[in-house]
Amino acid sequence: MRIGKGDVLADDTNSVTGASGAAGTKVAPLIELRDVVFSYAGHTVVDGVSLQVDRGELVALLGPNGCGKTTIMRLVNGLELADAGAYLFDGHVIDAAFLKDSVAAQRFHQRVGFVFQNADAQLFCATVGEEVAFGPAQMGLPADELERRVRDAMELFRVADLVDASPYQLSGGQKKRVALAAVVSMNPDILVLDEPTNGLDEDSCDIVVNFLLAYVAAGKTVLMSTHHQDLVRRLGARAIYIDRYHHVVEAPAPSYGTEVGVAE
Amino acid sequence: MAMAELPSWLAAEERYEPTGAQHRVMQKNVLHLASLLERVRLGGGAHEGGSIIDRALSCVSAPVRLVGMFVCVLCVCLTQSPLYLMLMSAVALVLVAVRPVRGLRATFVPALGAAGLAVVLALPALLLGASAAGAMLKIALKTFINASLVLGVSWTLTWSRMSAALKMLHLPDEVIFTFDMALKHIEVLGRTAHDLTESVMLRSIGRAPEGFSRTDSVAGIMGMTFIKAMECSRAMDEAMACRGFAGVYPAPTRAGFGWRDAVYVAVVVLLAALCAVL
Repeated sequence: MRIGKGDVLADDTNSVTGASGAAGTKVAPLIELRDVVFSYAGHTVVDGVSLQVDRGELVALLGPNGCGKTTIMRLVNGLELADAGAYLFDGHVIDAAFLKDSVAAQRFHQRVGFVFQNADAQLFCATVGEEVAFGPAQMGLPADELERRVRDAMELFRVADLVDASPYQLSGGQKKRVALAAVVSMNPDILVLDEPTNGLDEDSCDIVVNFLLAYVAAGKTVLMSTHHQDLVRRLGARAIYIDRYHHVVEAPAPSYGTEVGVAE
Repeated sequence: MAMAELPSWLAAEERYEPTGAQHRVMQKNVLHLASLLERVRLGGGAHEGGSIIDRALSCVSAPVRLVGMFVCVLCVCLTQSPLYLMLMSAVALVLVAVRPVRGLRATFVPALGAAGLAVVLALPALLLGASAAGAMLKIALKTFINASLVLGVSWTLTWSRMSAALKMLHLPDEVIFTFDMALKHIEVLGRTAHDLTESVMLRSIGRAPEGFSRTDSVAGIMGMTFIKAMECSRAMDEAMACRGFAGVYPAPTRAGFGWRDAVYVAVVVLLAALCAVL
C-alpha cells in the first residue's frame, strides 16, 4: 500500500484535531506503526517494526539495551520521523508534512504526553510549580482551571510540598514524579513513558503504578518501555518484546518469560 | 493495591483548540546549535563514510595533522595576496565538495555560517569607504577557509587522537586536561540542551499566556545546561581521580613517520612556500 504525506488512512471519523469516533464505526488503533525503519548515523535502530496500540490499552515495550525502545517512543511522539514505513496516530499519517501544520502538531503534542527516561532533561523551569503549570498554561486554560490542574497533578504524584523548590534541587525520584505531573497536567490521551520506574524507590514506584492503573481504567492509553517484568505483571500490561536484532516479538504478559527465551 | 483517584478533568476528554501560533524559531535555533555541539564532540565522522581524500587524511598521524593545520591557518591569516586566498579557497572547496552529505553538513555549513558572521561583524567597516568592501571580502574568505580547514580536521580526527597528539606535541598537561574535559562535555551539554529544547517544544503547544515568556524557557535551558556543565566537570574530575588520575597524561607511544605523513608535510610546505612567494 502506498501511503502519501498527510493521508488519513482510517475509515472512522476520528481526527487528530477532534477525538473519539461515532459508536458502531470501526475505530482505528490510536498508535499504529507499519514496517517502520529508522537509522541513526548509519546504524539501523528500528528495523521493520509493526505494532498497534488501541485506546484504553496499557502496552509495555521490553527488550535488551539498544534494541530501539527509546527510538520507538521518540517516533511515536514525532520527535523522529521514520526513514521507511508509516506511523499513524488515530488514523493520521504522522510525517514532516503533518507536523508542519502548527495547529495539527500542537493538538498532536497535547494528545501524546511524553516522559523522558532522564527526568533531568525534561525540567527547565525555575520552580516545580512553574514546571507543572507550563504545559496547561500554553494551552491557554483560564487561571482557576490552571491552578486546579497544577494542584491536582502535584497531589497525584505527591510533589505538592515541593511547589516552590527548584527542580535542580530534587532527588532523582522526585524529578521523575515532577516530570510526570508536568505532562499529566496537559491531560493527554496517551502517555508515552520511557522507563517510568527507573531509579524510583518502592513508594514512588507504587505512586506511579497506582496512577497508571487509574489512568487506564479511565479509558486513557499508556505505552511504556521498561526492563522490569515485575512491573508489567503488576500493571497487567500487554507485553511487546523487541529482540536485539530490532525485531518485534509480541507476547502476552503471563508467558513473557518463556517467549523471551525463544526470541533470544 | 489502592488505585489512585483521578481528578475529573483528567478522566475527561481534553477539549483543546490550538491557536496554531508560530513560535518555534528560537527553539529550533537552540536545537540546531545543540546538534552542532554534539557533532563537534563526536568528530572523526570520516571513518564512517568519508571521501577518499578524508580517508587518506585520517591515516596521517594526528600531531602532523595538527601542526599542518596550524601552518595553513597561519599562512591564510598572514597573506595579503588575493591569488593565494583563491588558491586556498579552491583547496578548501575541493576538500568539502568531495565529502558525503553528512560531511558537508558538518563542515561546509558551519564554515559558511562563520564567514557570514564575519561579514556581519565587519559591516560597520563599510562606513569607511569603498576600499573597506575588499577588506571585508578578504576577511570573509579567510574565515571560511580557516573554519573549513579546522572543521575538516575535526571531521577526520577523533577527539581521543587529538588529545594524544597534543601530548606528543609536548603541551602542558593542564592544557590537555582542559581541552579533554571541554571536548568530553561538549557532547553531553549538547545532548542536554537538545533534550531540554525538545521538552519545551513538546509542551509549547499554544500561545504563551501573560507571565509565561518563551524566552524564559530558553533561559531555563541555558541555566540547566550550565548547571549540568558544573555537575559533569565535578563528576568527571572525581571519576578520573578514583581511577588513579593524578593530573598527568601518559605520553602515547610515538607512531612512526610514514609515507602518508611525508606526502602531507610536502603539501603543507608547498602551500607555505606559495604563501611566501605570492
